Amino acid sequence: MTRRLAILMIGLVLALTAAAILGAVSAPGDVPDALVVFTQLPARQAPGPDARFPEGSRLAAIDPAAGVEPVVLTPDFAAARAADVHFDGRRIVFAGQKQAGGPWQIWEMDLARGKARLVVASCERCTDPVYRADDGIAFVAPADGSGAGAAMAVYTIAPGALVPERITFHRTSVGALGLASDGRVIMATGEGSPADGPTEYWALRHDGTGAELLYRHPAGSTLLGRARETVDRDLVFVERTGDAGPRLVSVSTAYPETSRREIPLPPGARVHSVAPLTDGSRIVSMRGAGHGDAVYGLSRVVDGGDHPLVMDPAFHAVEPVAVEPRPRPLGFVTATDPAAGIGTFFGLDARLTGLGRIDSAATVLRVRTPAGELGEVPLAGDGSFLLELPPDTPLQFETADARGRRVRGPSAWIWVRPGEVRGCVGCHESRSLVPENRVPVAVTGEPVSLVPGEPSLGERPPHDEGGM
Amino acid sequence: MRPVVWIAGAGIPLLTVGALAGHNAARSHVRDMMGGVDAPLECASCHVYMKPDGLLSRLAREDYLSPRDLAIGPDGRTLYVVAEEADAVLAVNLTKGTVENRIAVGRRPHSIVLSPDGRTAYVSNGWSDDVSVLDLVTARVTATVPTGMDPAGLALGPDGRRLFVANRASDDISMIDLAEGCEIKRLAAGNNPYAVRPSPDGRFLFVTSRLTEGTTIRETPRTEVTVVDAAVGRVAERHFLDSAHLLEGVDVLPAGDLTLATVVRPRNLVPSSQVAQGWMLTYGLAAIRPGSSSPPVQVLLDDVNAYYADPYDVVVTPDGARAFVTHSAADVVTAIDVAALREVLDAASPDSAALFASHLGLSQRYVLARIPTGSNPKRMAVSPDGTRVYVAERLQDRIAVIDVASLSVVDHIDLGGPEKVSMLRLGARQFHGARAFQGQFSCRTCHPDEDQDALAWDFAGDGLGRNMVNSMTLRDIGGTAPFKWAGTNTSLYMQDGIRFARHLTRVDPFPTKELRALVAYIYALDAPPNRYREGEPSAAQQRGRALFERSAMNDGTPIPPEGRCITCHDGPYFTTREKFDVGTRRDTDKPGMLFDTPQLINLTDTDPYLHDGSAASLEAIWTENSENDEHGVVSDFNKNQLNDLVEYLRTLGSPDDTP
Repeated sequence: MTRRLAILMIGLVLALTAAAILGAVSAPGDVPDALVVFTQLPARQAPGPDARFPEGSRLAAIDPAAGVEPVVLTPDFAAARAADVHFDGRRIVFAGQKQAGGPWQIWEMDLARGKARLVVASCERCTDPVYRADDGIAFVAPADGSGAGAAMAVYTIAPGALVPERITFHRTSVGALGLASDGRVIMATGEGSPADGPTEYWALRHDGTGAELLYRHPAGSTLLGRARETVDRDLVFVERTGDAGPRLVSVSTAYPETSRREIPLPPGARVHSVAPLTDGSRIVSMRGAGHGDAVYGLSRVVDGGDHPLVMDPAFHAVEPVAVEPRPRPLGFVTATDPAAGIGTFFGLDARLTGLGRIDSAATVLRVRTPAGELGEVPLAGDGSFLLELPPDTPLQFETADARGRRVRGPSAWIWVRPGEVRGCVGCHESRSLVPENRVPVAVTGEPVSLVPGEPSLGERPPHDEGGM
Repeated sequence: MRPVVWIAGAGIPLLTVGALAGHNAARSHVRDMMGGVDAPLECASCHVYMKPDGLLSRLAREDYLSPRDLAIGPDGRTLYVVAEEADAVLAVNLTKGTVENRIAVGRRPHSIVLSPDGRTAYVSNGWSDDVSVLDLVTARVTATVPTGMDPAGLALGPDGRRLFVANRASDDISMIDLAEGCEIKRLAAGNNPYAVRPSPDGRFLFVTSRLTEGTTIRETPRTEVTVVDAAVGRVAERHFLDSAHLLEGVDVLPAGDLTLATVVRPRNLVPSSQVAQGWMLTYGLAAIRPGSSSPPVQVLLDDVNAYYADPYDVVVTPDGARAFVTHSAADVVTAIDVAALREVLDAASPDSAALFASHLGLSQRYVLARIPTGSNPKRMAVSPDGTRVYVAERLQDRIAVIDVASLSVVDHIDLGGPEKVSMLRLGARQFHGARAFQGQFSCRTCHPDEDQDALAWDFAGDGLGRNMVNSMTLRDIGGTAPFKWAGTNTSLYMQDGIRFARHLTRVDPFPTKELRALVAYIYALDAPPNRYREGEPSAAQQRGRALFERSAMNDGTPIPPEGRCITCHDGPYFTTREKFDVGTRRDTDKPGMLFDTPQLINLTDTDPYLHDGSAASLEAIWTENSENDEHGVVSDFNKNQLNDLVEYLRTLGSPDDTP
């Protein structure tokens, strides 16, 4: 470690201590109290959103209040990027390549000590890590191997565990993880081609259960990078629609369909990525807008005005994240059972498609996997259904009328985890709608099994989960 | 070699062996005593936290005040606070922000109302079954008037000469002549009547109920709001709220055309496969239009991904512009724009009512602010000028002062309770706080006042549509392990630990310290006094006891031990804590399932009965739910004998509750 680096590290330690004592929260000013960690990319590289494993990338930190130059946090790495900050504001987790040409693994660094330790060693191309509420880590890695170009899936690893578990089974690639204030993991995915990039943000529990769509632009925008949640429970992210340049966007996590707004940026600015701060301001990676077009720099944006923080002609400064303590969400107890061999899915009324809207013609529910149709079941008189399904398999649903004609669907691809019991109020129902308090007719009978080779109910051992 | 070396050489291995043996013995002891263990246990887990009357537990106790209700004098200078755990009323000087008087009242005081001149206060005493009459000038109790069982909310009639008291345990309303100092009439109310508020002219009283009417398993609950014509002392209207219960707060708008009641909307009939999207519980307001034939409209106070559990009180400012609701599990007061709420209510039609009651997004239209409070906010009082709202922070021993203009807490009044947070108080905060995914519910939501909610729930962990279970009281259950209807939870550590998290809250289980505190709190819960065992047993009760303990039928035919009540319902809590098949298993229950013998303490408070709540009354246990004498031999009973048995069962109280 060079003498300069040592001095800056000591500065980081002091600043972290002060931040912890003062809570690192203040009224918006020209510079934030929080340290900012970000990714530096060599200026010669195009910092595209699909650049998950960029050569020569590195993590750096800056203390804007101290007015000093950024300090490189990963001098011993061939490449590093995609930092996420722990709830205590003292540690980061990131994707790093120790040696050129070597594997990309998940590392954790105590910022005060400046030492990195390997936390997920067992994959070749891991990236986009985020801390789970329980100090476990979720990250992205190839779904079916380590080859370049493979579709990516989300994996998680519990604290102290050695082997990560895959938790998403989308048909398409996923990435750009974040964490919601209710503890759910947020991921970017979608049915768009890989070249276009993801079009949707989804939220799911860290065991892969309860995956649901959070946001999709009606015109099919491409989402660029992670969505980060603000203290006001809004998601901020970067979005590109058609030929227009990327825009900084905010949506409420509760009402994403109706709350989208574009956050004003200086004229001519082209945004790459964003980090919200607890004081309500944002650190934005952007270029143009009087900062030059050559590289992305970091600015603090408050009410449309920007205050430059980092501008190095040799490096793009992207993927900022504020080093601030923040409330730790309650974690989750997993509801999955690897030995279960099935997942259960039931709906209260598949004919219900919105607030008060009923597809009365729907009488049948069809289920499909990427390999073809899995089967269909008649809806009960109240529109309910109860299915046992193969777990960890992409599934698509649609309703049909008595003559087999599609009424609504197909749905997005979803999945059930082994042992998961998943319910829905309707099909494409509004998330504002809560279930009606009545006994669904479908649960008064036996579930319909669409699991190939699954024994009938009578042949199964008694269910002895025990419940409450 | 020196002796000390010999001693050390022999002693250290011996101590090591002894320690290992002791450790193994301790583990074996825990396994033997607790059955199974899935929570971290230490010696104190059982020998301190489960011994509420033990020396250590008693030494660690603090005497908290626990403010529940409050009322402001007409001059706005004095706040009278019902301190539930102190059995007292505190007089608070609002100018100084200090407690100036403490007046002892009856046991477990609940609610307070002042006379119009502010010179007299009436306080309901839940466990004394009476009302204390307080002379506020001399700060003395001048009279005590008997009421029905477990009196709660109260209000004065229009002329101030009559007092109306909602009696929770006897499901009625006492009408008291204040001049005579006695009850002169009893009006039938809904199930567990609770809050009472008069119309602006005082003519009508709105009495909310907490528990559902006598619905049966798999029926939608519905709960009553009783409207009393206080001028004539009669019930004028009965309104029923579908899919709602625990109506604990009520207020009437100054115009008198709209009454708002807090509601809990349970989804007990929907398998609890998830918590998200209001799958288990939501919370809101019911709007009742007095004199109207149109059904009440319910709207939610929750938001998408955020729930505000256990609404307890609602107050409206004198100008009718703002309403405030306490959410006692969320530690929040919701501020409401009443005009905006009216617009939403006016748009509701009978066809759209169900949709309105299920729409999380509507609250965006009328909720102005969520105001954080201290722990467990309960009743509120609005200052006469309408500028301040005072909130009783029950588990904080404090009053929060909300500024109506800025919708923020601008002050706190410390009532002088202990500063230390004892283990029991920490446990109370766990019990009453909403530790569930997105804050959707607390322990208290299904166990109001640590009792039960009279609903049978479909817990998905036992299978969808299977094994519906009636929620059980938590009062005085320390000696009744194992827990749960199937008796599979050998301890409360197991009941409230990882299983509770996995199957209900869907978030991390309670941390070890909080779990111990919660267990200690539940173990320390007392049962209320049994109201049926005063004095010498009646003849009917004595005959009922003989039937309970009998070993022969009316014709002398011997009853085998397994057919006698006393065989399974023996011991201080009237349970042998063993599991049996008494013929009550349903087709939808797990095949071969046996049921833990329930305790029989204060049975009249715990209806409905049986594991799935299918018996609405004690009589129905045998008249509708027992065939072939599987649940005790009763087939030879005549009607009078069944009545006698029920009379006796009603007298079964806690072993600590001596008549």
